[in-house]
Amino acid sequence: MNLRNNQYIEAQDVTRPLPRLPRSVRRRIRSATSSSHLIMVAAAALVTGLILLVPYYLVVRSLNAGQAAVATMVSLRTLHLLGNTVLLAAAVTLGATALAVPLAWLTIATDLPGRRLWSILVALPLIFPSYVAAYIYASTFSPKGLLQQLLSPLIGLDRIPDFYGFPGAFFVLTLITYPYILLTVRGAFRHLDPSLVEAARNLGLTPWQAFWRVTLPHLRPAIIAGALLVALYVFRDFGAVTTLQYNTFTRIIYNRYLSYRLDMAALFASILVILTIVILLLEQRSRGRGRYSRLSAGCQRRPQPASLGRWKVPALIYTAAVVTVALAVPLATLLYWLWRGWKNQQVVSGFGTMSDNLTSLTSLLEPAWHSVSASFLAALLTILLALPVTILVVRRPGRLSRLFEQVAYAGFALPGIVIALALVFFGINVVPSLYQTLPMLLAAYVILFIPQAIGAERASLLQLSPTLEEAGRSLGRHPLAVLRRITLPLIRPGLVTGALLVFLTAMKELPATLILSPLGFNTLAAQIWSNIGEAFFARAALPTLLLLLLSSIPLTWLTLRDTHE
Amino acid sequence: MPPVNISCHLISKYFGNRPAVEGVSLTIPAGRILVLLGPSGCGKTTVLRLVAGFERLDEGEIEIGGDVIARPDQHLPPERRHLGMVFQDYAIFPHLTVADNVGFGLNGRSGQADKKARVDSLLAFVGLDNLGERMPHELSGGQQQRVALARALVTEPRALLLDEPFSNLDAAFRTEVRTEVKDLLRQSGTTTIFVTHDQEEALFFGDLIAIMRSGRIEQIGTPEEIFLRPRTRFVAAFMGQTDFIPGQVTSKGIDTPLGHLNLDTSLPIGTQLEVALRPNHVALNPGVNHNSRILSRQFLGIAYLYRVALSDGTIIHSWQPYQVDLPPDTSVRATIRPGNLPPLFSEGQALDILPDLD
Repeated sequence: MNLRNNQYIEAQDVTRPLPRLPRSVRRRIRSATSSSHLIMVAAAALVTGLILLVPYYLVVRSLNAGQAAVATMVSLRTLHLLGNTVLLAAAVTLGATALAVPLAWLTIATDLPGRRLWSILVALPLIFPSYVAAYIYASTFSPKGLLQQLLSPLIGLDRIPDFYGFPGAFFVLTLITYPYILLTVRGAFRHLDPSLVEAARNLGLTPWQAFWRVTLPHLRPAIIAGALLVALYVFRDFGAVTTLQYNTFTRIIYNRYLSYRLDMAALFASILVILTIVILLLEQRSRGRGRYSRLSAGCQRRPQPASLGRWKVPALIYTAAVVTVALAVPLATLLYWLWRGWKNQQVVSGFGTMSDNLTSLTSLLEPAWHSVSASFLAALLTILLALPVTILVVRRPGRLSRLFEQVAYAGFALPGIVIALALVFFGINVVPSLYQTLPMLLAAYVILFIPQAIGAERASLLQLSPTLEEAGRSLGRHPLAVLRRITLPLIRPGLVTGALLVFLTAMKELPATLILSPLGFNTLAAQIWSNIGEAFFARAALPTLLLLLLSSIPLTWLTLRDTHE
Repeated sequence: MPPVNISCHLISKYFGNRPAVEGVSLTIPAGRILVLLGPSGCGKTTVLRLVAGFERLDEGEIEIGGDVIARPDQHLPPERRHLGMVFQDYAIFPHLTVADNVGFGLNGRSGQADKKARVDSLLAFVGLDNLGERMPHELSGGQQQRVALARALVTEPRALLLDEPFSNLDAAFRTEVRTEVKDLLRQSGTTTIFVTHDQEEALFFGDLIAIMRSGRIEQIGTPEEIFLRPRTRFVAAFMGQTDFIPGQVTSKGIDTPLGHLNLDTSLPIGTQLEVALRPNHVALNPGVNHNSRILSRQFLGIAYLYRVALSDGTIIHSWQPYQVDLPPDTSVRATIRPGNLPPLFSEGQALDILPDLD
């Protein structure tokens, strides 16, 4: 093997001039990407276009509003609304954080007795739609409510503090949103590198100091992420604030919609959306420059659970108290109302007629089926449509992908009621054949829930090394075949999580469902709502129970997957 | 399929404004192994990915077996290039069995029976018979690597591309696995491009080694040429343990702190040069005329590696048989061993005055 130097030096010389295309042409040809990439981009563009319909509608409608409308906008009343909304969001966020962080710590990082059970129970309040929680707590805590009826013979209490308005809204929303922060913080705890705390202890910090100076800063992104979810939830909430008679933007928007003052509705909706965008931007700024992922491989040990010692009993009391108030009380109240209704043969409102229990039960089957099928279709559609955006964002990062992602997450900023109004507008003016049909409702669900689906899919896809897909291509498979045979099977957990989340949230959704459901398409949510409206708590009980049961299946599935990792 | 040669003509790849690969030309003869060696960030993996088709060329041309597969305006997608690739993290599909992994590239070209036969023969070839039904996570790192190799070979690719295939193995294990893999590659006779940052691996594997730095090729040659006849200062410093001492051209040859070299450089008198010393070039004599001092020594079993400080502070190394016992702080005279001509460099480029290797 006598290969001499010279041959290879020659190869480095220019042996023949190569034809050289001008740079501009080369760039254009280079940007003509493969067909599979184009398909992804087209699909993502479609979804993005759908979402952008909503702000477009808002702008068009708001511009129609005219002078008088603008005057109303800058009135004191509007400022009052703004203040109300922001105040509620801030209070609930703080309350939920204060509730959730200790619970997260207790159920995952300590030796609390019955940890596994508690960790499931404290997350369960997620099954309560806000309007359900609102009417249940209202019926319990309001004057002449259940609590008073229970307590007054015992303590002789004549009046308990007013539940409606801010106190009630704060109480109810805090209790049903704290699980969002709980889940994000718990996830962060699980990814905490135990050697960080050990290094801190080694450098002289007490366990308490280590918690404050090492653990808590690490949890900060998760706390902020969860807090953001809570704040946005409060902004968008319609059911609870309406039931508890607390004036926020969503309530005004719905009132204007009902009185056909759609221009005003759009104006108020625009303010709400701007408010939400401001919060989103603040959250992005707050992310800061610290890096929170592990810098090195870290150690693979599980962290040692902290020993509670003599704090065990107080911790147990705290956890049990939260679970009681957030889960046991509403469920007990619900069962009470059910029993009351059952006793008086008033289980379901059958268009105002009295009917026996069995007929009432069977009359619920249809709305239950509608709820389940609509939510199921929404879940399927959403995870499908979220795929192109997720793939582009993770595999082909760049300006276009970021744009798609940001628009998709804009769904967070758009309350259900606003999306519904936009789609109504397009339904009437552009595609009348689709107006008040199931596809329109599904479109609303997609816009609403695609951020959740993208989040779940993205987490899965990020864990998949791109070399697996490259290996598939190097073995001769076309990119779409690689997607089908390698990527999709391996991100199935993310797809399932996304589908479960969407199903769960779609079942509970209210304003879009109210506005966009086709005629005669009764759903459990609408059923419950009409009964709350008429203060027929007993009649609302059975559909509520059914809704909770159906929702708890995906939630239990999700929580079990969560705790089994 | 008979092995083919691969050639790259003046290929370049820019990421933004940064040239990751610039003006690289290589030819790998059919059936040979070329090692791309260099520090991290030198562009060697980018060259591999350009050949594989996972990156697009900005300039230049890549040919395989005489067919142009890539140019700035042409890009044969990876799935049509018929090249086998072994990734640094093996990229074994975790949801498929070992047999399904290995058979993945056999895309229904033949019947099921044929496919199974071929998979079985590949598994036997890499020494993994009877492990076909296992799942990847049940295998050790070395076994997973062999699955990756088998999978890449099953389609009888025109060439094999290996991206640092041993960096994920335990060091102790690496030597053993290396030998096996080299034997497998020899037996299969496939043209191979092998990327690594480990020079020992490069010297072991390569029929040819191409050293890269900052996106350009510093030198291509056989391992002997690279090691003993480095063409640039960088290559000399990169390979082995190299120390540089200054040299000055005089009327009679070259003067160095370690003595005089009788070489005719035909350079002007007074030109400053650098002499690249390897430990085998340096002799130590504890007698008279000391010019240096022993700092420390490392026992290597059959030899000592001495660390020696010259009077001006420069540190050089010297190998001595273990019988030569010079404790630290001994003053010695360090000289260049007669008969050993170390490479000389002027302004970073080698002086072409040394006899050719044969």
